[in-house]
Amino acid sequence: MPWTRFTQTKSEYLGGGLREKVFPCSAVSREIRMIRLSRSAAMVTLAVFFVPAWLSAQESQLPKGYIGSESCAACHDEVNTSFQKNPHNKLTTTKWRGMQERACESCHGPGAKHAETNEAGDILNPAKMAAGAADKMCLSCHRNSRTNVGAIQNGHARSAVSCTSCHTVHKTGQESSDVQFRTAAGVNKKCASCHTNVWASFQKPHRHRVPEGAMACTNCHNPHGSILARNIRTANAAEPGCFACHSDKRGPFVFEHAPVRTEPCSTCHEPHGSANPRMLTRHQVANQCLECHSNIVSPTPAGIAGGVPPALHDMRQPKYRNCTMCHQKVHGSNVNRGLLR
Amino acid sequence: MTLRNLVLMMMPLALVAAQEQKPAAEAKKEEAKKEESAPAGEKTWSGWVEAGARWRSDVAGSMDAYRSIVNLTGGFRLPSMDVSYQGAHKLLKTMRLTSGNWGDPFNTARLELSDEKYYRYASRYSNLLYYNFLPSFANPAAPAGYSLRSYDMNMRNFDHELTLLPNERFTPYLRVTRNWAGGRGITPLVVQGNEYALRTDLDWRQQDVVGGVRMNFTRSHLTIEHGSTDFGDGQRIFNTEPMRGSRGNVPVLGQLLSLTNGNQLYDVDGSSRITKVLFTAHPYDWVDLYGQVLYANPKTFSNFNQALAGSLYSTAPGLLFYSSGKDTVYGDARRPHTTGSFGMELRPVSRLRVREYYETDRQKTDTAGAFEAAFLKNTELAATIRNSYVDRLETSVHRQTVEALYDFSRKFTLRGGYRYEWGNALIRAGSLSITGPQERLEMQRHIGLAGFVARPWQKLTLNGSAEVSNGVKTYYRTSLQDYYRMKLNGRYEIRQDLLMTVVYNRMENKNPASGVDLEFKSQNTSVGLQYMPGGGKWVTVIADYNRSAIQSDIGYLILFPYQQAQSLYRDIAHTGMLLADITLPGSGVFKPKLTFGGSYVTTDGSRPSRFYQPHGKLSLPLHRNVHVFSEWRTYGYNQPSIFSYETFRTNMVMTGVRFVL
Repeated sequence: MPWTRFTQTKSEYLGGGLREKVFPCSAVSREIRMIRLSRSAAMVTLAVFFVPAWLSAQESQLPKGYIGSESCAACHDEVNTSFQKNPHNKLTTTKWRGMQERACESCHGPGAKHAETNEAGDILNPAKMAAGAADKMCLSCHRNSRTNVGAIQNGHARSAVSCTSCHTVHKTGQESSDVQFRTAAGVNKKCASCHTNVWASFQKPHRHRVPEGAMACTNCHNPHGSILARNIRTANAAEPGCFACHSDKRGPFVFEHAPVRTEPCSTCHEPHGSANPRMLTRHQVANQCLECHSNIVSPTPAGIAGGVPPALHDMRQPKYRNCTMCHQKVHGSNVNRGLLR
Repeated sequence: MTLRNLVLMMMPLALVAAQEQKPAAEAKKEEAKKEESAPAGEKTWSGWVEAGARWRSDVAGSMDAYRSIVNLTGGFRLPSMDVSYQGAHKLLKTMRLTSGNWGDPFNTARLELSDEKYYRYASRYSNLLYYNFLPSFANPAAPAGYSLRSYDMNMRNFDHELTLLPNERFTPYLRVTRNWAGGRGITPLVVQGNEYALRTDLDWRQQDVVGGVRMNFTRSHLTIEHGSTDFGDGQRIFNTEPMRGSRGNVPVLGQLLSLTNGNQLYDVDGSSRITKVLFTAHPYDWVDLYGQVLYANPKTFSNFNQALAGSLYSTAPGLLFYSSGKDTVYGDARRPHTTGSFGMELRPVSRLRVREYYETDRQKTDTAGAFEAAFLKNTELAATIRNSYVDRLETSVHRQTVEALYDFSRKFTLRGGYRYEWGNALIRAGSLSITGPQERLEMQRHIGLAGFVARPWQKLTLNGSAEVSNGVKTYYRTSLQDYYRMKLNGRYEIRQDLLMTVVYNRMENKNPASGVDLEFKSQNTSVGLQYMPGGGKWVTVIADYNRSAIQSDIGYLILFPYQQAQSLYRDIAHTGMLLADITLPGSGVFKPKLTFGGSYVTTDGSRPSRFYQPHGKLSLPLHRNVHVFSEWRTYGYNQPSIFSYETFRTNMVMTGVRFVL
């Protein structure tokens, strides 16, 4: 009989992990087996009776002032039903934000007082909060997203247009902003409801295909903020978003047209719509060019480029007023310094 | 009683208790499972598909103008589709497919697949036909005179993004974007003393492949993205028959010019590495930090070959008439481009927010090229020109902004701040000479910022902002210098079902420096009404009116003949828009719906024009799942001036069926 059969470690005996002392088995084995069985049974009993009770006690241990989503649902049943399909419902189960079982109160704040008084003023309503406070609350979770990195430069944030101005939280189906914003028409409708002047520009004959629903405002703008002015999106990392589609204008070119790099595209084009073909800011291309290529060398105090190439042509001839017939590569050329081809 | 007996006695009790617990737990699980798979009352498939046919009347007026501006055609169409699936498949919980305008010159589609426990996939596609043949903006002599570049091409964009959701801390993603444009057009081949309108084949493409990971921590976030771009731009110009060109039968020194064979091949290939690092942090309740660094280093290699034959002349190697010529140009350009920003918001007290941010953008373009031109008389080499060149363009722009927002009350917030913008650029300037000098430019602006948000009572919201700039130095004559910009938005709920919005924008930019004398003004006023009695259940009417005015004056000098000239631009536009949506009486779901409206734009000033696009649509439900609709549209455009040849008018009717799932 191997010697080990007659030994039990203390750690085994005590349920621990350390081998500390050796006991002879033969004399006490029966008693030990009995004790071990009894202990296991006791543990099972404890688990069956007390653990669920302990867990439920833990669940009900909400922070002071909180009542939990189930209590909210008792009165706001309709909201609660629609909320089940809402992405925010994830808060109910996830430990990530520490708001398990109180998803409602993650936005509306502690609800105990409201439950007691039934007064609307005793609970937070993000739709009616000051924009700064509403944003702070939404951003406490959503700050951590790549679309919100430019939030601080965002014109919406500066003008106190809060998240809840565009995003609905409780609505579901076709009424939900999440569903609406998946289509260009849905996005455009929302933007146009405030930016009516921009939407009016899109009714002009020469425009991007936004009213037709082929493009959304968000193709060019990030409403949450961008590193570029006017919330313009970036493309290919650091380039203005225009180059995402107009990649032939991106360059680099052997001969750059410097203003394409230093000035925004809107210097020459009205991207939202224009009465002028090619969305130009001038009715004739000659005016567009001659305003800079003015043949006037500005004095230094003007602080502007003095060496802009002059327009040497005879402007009485129509063909010379048609600048882009010869200077075809106005965005930059790889062949000719005069941007001819 | 031994311990063993005690335990044995308690066992049945434990089993009973366990049995009592089990059904409750199982029921909960089953309920959760049921909810997860298909929420009660929700269909697995939902949405609609619209199909129909369009008839278009003949276009009265210029077909080229019509195609450049509207370009809708007749035939079978799929105007819209929005189909969703919610199910319990192992790897597909939700799917949504939307598309619009299939069969039209601009169509889109979007597909989303997701299982929020594992992944999210979105794919977008758009195809836009770009037709442009409106020579009037550049050529005052059109249509009798010579034209310029025109296009008939398709621009397609594909975008795929797959996001994996292994846990809440790490979110890896992969994005592939493909942009392609191709088609044909007309390009004038400009040879000394003459221009020949030649057929062009165009083909440009760009593909981005980017991978990244978003890292979410309790109080911070970091996104690291890296990828590459490949792009190309190809253009071929060629003729198929002998041409006299714009010069016609007017000889040069007694010799008629012509082109019997012209071929131009322009090929650009490029690549770039893309790197993005984005972070946000919220270390304490009173401070938020934001930052991003974006880097790209695009490089291009270009190759240009031109072969011409005919009766041609050039002055470049001295006056020379030649019968054929060949140009070859190689170019190499690279432009490292770094953009970054860093900002913070401090909230020292609950009502005060202080925002401070710095932005920078730097790019340097280094280029080199080589050029060779050979002129042949019959088959003998008459002259050769060779050249090589290097060039450099540097630009950097920086902005530092500090802004404070103070909430005087829940109803009134005031903000004010200061922004300093500065930058410099190194450009080739002076003349058209390849060896012209380089010039260092500087830009400096001090800008004051202000704004307010007032909600005096719940029905009225006013939002105003203004910025005033004192420009010290600027790059170009038309750049921003001494400007102010103001904006006022108002929303007033006149009644519960009637909402009014007012938008007013004004901007003025001046550069009074001698030799510049720039004056630019723009003003925009917009009034909108939204009427939705009963929450829009029966009637919704949205009406907007907008007036915009632009006025720009700047002087320039005409050298031949020598005279002062003024570039004056005036544009006063009035735009009216209406959208009415009326549900007509009916029973149950069989309620016809009438939609009508459209827009009318009239512009006066430098380019007077009228553009109108009224439409109406009647939708009749035949069955809960089948609706028929009929739509009418009119498009009209005219320019009551010298450009009247670019006008058109057309009507179209579309009839179709909407299948509701």
